[in-house]
Amino acid sequence: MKRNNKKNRIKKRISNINCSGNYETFIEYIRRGKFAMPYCKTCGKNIWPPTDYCTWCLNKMELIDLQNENGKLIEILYSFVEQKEIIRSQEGIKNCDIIGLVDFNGVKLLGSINKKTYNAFIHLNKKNFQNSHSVKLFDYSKVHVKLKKCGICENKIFYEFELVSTK
Amino acid sequence: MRKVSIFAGETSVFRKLGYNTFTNSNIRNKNNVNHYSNSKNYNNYRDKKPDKISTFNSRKSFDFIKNTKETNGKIIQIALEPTISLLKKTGFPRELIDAVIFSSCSSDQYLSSIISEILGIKPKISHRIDNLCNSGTNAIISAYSYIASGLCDSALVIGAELYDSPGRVLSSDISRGQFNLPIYWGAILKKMHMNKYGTKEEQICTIPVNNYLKAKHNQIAINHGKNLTLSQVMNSKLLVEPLRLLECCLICEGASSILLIANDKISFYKSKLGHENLRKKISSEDGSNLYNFTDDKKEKSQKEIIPICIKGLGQQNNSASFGNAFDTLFLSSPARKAANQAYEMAGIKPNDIDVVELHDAFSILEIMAYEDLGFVNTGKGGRFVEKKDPNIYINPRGGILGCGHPLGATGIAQTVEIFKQLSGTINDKYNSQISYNMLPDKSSKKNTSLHKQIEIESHDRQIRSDIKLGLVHNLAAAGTSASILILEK
Repeated sequence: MKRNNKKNRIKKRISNINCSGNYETFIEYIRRGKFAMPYCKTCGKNIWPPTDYCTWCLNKMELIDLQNENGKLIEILYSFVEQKEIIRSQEGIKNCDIIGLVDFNGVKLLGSINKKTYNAFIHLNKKNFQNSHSVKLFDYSKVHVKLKKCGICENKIFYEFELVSTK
Repeated sequence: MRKVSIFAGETSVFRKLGYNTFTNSNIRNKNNVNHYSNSKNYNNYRDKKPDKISTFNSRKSFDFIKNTKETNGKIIQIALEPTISLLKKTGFPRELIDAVIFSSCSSDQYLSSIISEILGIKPKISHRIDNLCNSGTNAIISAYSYIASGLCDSALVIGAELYDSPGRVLSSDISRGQFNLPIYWGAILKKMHMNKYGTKEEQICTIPVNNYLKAKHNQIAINHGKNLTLSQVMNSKLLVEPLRLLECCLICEGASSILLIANDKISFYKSKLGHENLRKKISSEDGSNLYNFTDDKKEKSQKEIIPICIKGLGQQNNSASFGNAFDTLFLSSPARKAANQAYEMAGIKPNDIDVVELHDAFSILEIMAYEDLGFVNTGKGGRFVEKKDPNIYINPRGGILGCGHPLGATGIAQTVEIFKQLSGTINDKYNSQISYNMLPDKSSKKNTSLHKQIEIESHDRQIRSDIKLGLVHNLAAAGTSASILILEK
């Protein structure tokens, strides 16, 4: 019984978001921590948003696994929205959320960036660090991004990325 | 196609209640509201008997209202304020209004019909339009098309919004994950503009300063009478690097209404002004009308009314989610396409524009608007700020940064401002004629005044007689949708 209740509760939470077909399964996958990329076979493209039909050819789409697919980093942001003060040190900005805009073959997602992998990149570019805004800390084209985590927390979807160097 | 003119327009005072929801909801949870974060306080709160009368003017009660989903039809109350002022000022007979269009992102239903009922109008066409931040101009465009097609001769467009409107966050855009507040895309745009075109931070930060300067003399603005210096902006709290607190607009509550008529019927309507006797008798016999339209006998009528023609329109929508619109935001933005449509329809060039109201929800959007509207080449918006071109009068009312941003009312308030600038009625004093129904605050212990009259200091604003062409620029949801209006004297 308890288990059922839990399931129902989760279902309710999901049904709050208007859903049908692919969208519903997409959310269901997200809840389990997997990212299912909406993909159109006839176009050979990743399509956003995750609905039943492709926006280009209007044929049916399917959801595919995003495992090991690399994304391109477009922009990094430092958010102090939840902090009162900004604490900087030589190792990095201590108390901010690092946000990345990442392009996965045409699908752009906004999510947080894992701090450990980020600090490793910062370590290579210490000089630029003091004037971080308006200056790119490092060349984004040399960085690949992977989706590390995703899920639903407090009724909101979240994505977490990690940076991977290409060399 | 028939030509359409703006006959009259009115905007209520934008009020700030609550907090800045456009940038952040967490600030509120941490700093302002104690009784939910602290369990002890919460228990105290629960033990109390529920208030029978909900009080609107205290922050505490606002949270109570929000959590119990109690609305009390306050949005109608806000919307009535400028509309009644407009009808009284002009003396426009209500029997002759053919369409009522309501613009709002609120979740209340059937608003246009409710407000027509209260105002005693029986329109042919009446519906609500919701398109997030550019609902207002969208409503004007629909009203325009009804009149131009000959379906009706006059249309009343009303926009209103509350501070806790659901329109401030586009929850369906799941590509943004938990960062779905508008401030994140604002910061991305600012950072990319700085990196791509070398725009300096000082250039971007002068925009709020310029807007506050104009809002200082604007009695309806939320920042009325406030001063702001460049160093204040540069040193304000960093929210999302590189975007700062004072570069963001404030969500507020407000309303605005505008009356459109067919150009070929101007003289007919002018001759009918002030003839509302029949309606008055009916309303007094029924006793059904909520508000009395008694004191509009006074002249008001024909003398100063100068209708302003809508010369060009343009609207473009590229997508709904930020991710899909991102590629086109700098070089082929919806605003650029909509502006080209409008210029083509009006048969003018960007340099002909004299006065302009821009959608500057964030400071960077104003710089991008200069580029989109063709005032400067792409990437040179930053230098345009320093130059201070005297030929174009930018944001006479203080823009969204100065005035505040009630989503559904913004587009209409912008159009009303340009209308007033062109018709020279900018210094007409706005007095809210209905007492705004504020119930007493229990914390003040003095329940003496049930109805607070809103008192406004007024400063005379600069009138420019040489302006002939005006433009309204209105965006929605990260610039994915844009609409442009061009007005001519």
